[in-house]
Parts: sequence; C-alpha cells; structure tokens
Amino acid sequence: MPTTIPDRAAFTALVQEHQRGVFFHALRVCRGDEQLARDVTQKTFLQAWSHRAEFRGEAALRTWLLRIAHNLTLNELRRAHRRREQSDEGREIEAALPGPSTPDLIDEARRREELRDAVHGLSPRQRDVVLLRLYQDLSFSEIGEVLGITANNAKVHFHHATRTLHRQLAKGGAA
Amino acid sequence: MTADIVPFPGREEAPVGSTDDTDVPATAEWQELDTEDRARFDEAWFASLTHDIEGALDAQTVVALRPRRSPWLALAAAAVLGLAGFVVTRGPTPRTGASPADPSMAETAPPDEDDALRALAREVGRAAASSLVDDEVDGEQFASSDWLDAEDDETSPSYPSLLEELDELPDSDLSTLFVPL
Repeated sequence: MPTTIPDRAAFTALVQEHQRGVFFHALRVCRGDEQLARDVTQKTFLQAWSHRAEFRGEAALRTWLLRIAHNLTLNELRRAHRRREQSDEGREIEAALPGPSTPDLIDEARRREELRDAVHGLSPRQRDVVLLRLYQDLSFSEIGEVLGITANNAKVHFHHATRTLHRQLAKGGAA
Repeated sequence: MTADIVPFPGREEAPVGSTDDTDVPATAEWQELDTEDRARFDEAWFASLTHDIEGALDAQTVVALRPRRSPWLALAAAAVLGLAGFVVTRGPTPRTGASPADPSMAETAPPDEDDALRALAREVGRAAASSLVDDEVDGEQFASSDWLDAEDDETSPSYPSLLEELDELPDSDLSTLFVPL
C-alpha cells in the first residue's frame, strides 16, 4: 500500500488498478447509470490527483478513492434527481434500451433486477454498507472510513440490511 | 458468600459474507449475481475510460500551469491608466488653475509636465514590478513600492562639481568623451 501518491506517470498505473472498483461502485449506487458512473470515475481521479498532498496513507488508497467516488456519486444523483423532476425524458430513454434475448439471460436479468430493487429499497446507509461489503469486499472498519461511520455501526447496518434483503428476495424468489 | 462470575461468551468475528445470523442465507449468490451486469464493460471499454481520465488530467495540469494573469496585459493596463492620468493632469484645468493655451502660463507648464511624466513613470514602474512579482511572493511588492516612494524623500545628494571631475580625468579620456560638433 503506497503511503503517498506517486508522480504523474505512476498515477496512471493507479488509475488502471482502481478504476474498475471505483466505476462499479458508482454504477451500483446510481442504479446502472453508465454515463453518470463514468463521469464520477473521471472526477474521482481528477480530485485524487488534485488533493494528492492530503493523502497521508492512514487509510488504504482504495478506501480513499471509494470515499471520494461515493460522495461524488451522491452529489451527482442529487443533481440528476433535480433534473428529472423537471423532465421525464430519462424514463423514456431507459424504456427504449434493448433487453436480454435468450431465456437464461432473461432469467438472470430478472433476478438481477429483483436484487437491485431490493438493495435500493433499503435505507441509503444500509444500501451503501451492503454494496461496499458484498461487492468491494471491504472490512467493516474500511466501510466506516468510506462512509464516515464507526465499524460497529457499519456492522449493525449490514446485519439489518441482509435480513431485509432476505425477506424481500424470498418474496420475489430470487434468494 | 461468594458468587462465581461466569464470563459472557464472546462472539467470534464474523467472516466476510456472514451476518452472524443462521436464518440469513449466505450472500455468495448475491455477490455472484451482482446488482449490475459487469460483462457489459470489457477491457476496451476501460481502456477508453483510462484514456479519458488521462486526457482530463493533462488538461487539468495545463490549466494549473497557466499563469493567472499576463504580465504584458497588466503592463498595458497600467500604461493606459498612466496615460489617462497624464491627460487629466494636462487637461483644461491644470493644477495652476490656468489654461495651458494661455501663452502667459507657458513658463509654468514645464514643471507640470515633469510631474506628470514622473507620475506616469511611477505608474508604469509599479505595474511592471507588480506584474513581474508572483502572487506567492507578494510581500516583495512592498519593497518595490518603497523604492519608488523613497525617491521623494531623498534629499539631493552632494556631488563634486563637474569641472572638478573633468580636471581629474586624463587628457586621453577627455578626447574620447566629447564629440566635436
């Protein structure tokens, strides 16, 4: 784990190493909005480079990047929500996207949709903890660093969230 | 009377993916399914993203390196200000209160012109000094302005007379010093 951000050339290697984790986290939080997640990923690394002097290495670089990405995603979602209130174009575009074709893919897509709905039906804090725990494989301590809560708080949120998810998915048959 | 203190059995640290509850299923299936279809994003897609990020970083670096203001622009603005001041000073209402067109006041015009030129020189000097000094070392501007202001406070230095100086020069130097008209 590097304790400081290296020079510009080495930063490129860090981008390649961490961009997937950053992008997929943003993508999950914003419910699959690819363009928003892509913009967030780009802004995350721009901010990381601009504020590299503030990174002291107390936290893992990955945790630091995820924290930046998470906050940026929430900000972008608030802006997008305000824009959607003014126009319903987004829903029309979403409805026009092509879906999966084969039965297996259709079933997988259906179960994924159920899981996504269930995760996003949680409280925002529980959703964030679940996404970071399940898909970024962070410890509760690291989740606490990303979200600005204690490790125990993250653990409690995860406990309640998984119980809720289990109930919701049992109803839909995805669990 | 003694009471045996039975320690409360501590809970073991839950492994990743567990929730400490037996009625909650393992989350491995949720992890595998994922809420988003990652297969849509291949190596080429992320290579494109890397390219975009690199481009944005380069653009950001260029903006950061660009000077915040042009010294030439500042110098030009200062010169315009100085000229404006010069025009105002030489305008229809000079400090003497007489019109510059009045031939009787021709004797007083040269001192005003000198003052105006001196003011213009000061303005241009200040602008040049401030535009050349970076913002991080603005403290040095005090020194520049001090030099300019201190010029007014200085008393005229006493120099030896020109003739005395010329007397001390050798004849060979005198021949090259003056060009015959």
